[in-house]
Amino acid sequence: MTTTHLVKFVLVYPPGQLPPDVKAEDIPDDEPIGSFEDYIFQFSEQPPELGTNHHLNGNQWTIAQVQTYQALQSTPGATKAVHIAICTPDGAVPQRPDWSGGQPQVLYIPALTNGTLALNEDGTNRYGIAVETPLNIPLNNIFEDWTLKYFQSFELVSASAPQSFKDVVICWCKQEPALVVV
Amino acid sequence: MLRQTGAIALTTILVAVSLPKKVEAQTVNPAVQACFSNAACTATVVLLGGVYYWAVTQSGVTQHFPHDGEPGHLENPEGSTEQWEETIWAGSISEAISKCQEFAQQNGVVYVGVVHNRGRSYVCQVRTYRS
Repeated sequence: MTTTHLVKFVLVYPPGQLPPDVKAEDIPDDEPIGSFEDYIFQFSEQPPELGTNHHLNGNQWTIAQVQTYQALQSTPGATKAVHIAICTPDGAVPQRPDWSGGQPQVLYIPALTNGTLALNEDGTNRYGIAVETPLNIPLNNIFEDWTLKYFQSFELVSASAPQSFKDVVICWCKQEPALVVV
Repeated sequence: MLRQTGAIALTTILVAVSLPKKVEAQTVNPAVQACFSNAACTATVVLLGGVYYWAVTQSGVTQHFPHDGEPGHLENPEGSTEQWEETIWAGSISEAISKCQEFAQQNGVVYVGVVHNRGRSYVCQVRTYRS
């Protein structure tokens, strides 16, 4: 499995449109219905291209924007770049607010050393966003549900856009045999 | 996932305060425990008539259950950093971050970040002191 590029597809639903997994009655009563987004991470041989169509989460999406983060030489690894591909149904660039309070955020993605992405129990991708980099966590320690083996860090090389990240970090982890669910 | 294991006690609770959930809580009413794993449900600690209760709200209906003793301190008098988690429901990651920051501000703690753990559910991570 190739891990040259990691693509984070951001599926931006038009205002008022609910994703397939959300029903109006699922929304807590005190929640205003705003814009929904879904996030799908995939390793790829090629970087994503503007204007291309992708069938994701049961719908057709067009890439409207791409932000690229290039790997730092100081943290070598198999992945060369991480791309944030902003997708909309019609390919129009969506209006997305910047991070609340303007606080810079770090995106970190746990991946397994066998070349697969770490998943939550429901099969969705595990990822986190934090104000501090996880790079200070000692190697071979427990990181979330896995054992941390090494990091790869990436910095933005394309134009900044709303919800850009200060850094992107892939946390390469190993799933210890004792933690494997059979 | 980072989880709080130590005992804590709240320093300031006036009428109704939303608290980070203790992952390893003492004996908790099953309805409250079930709420912890339900993104559409919120569990907060409230002070009613001098007695602390869990207020469990789902589908607009709030039920109260006895709370064992006073809630824990978010500020540790010994000054160590403690990290806490609160599950929040959000339609997007920016909304999750905004809610988590608001939660931190309301409770006098420091926003750390959010982790996606399933569906529309995010884990809001906060801590007591800057380190």
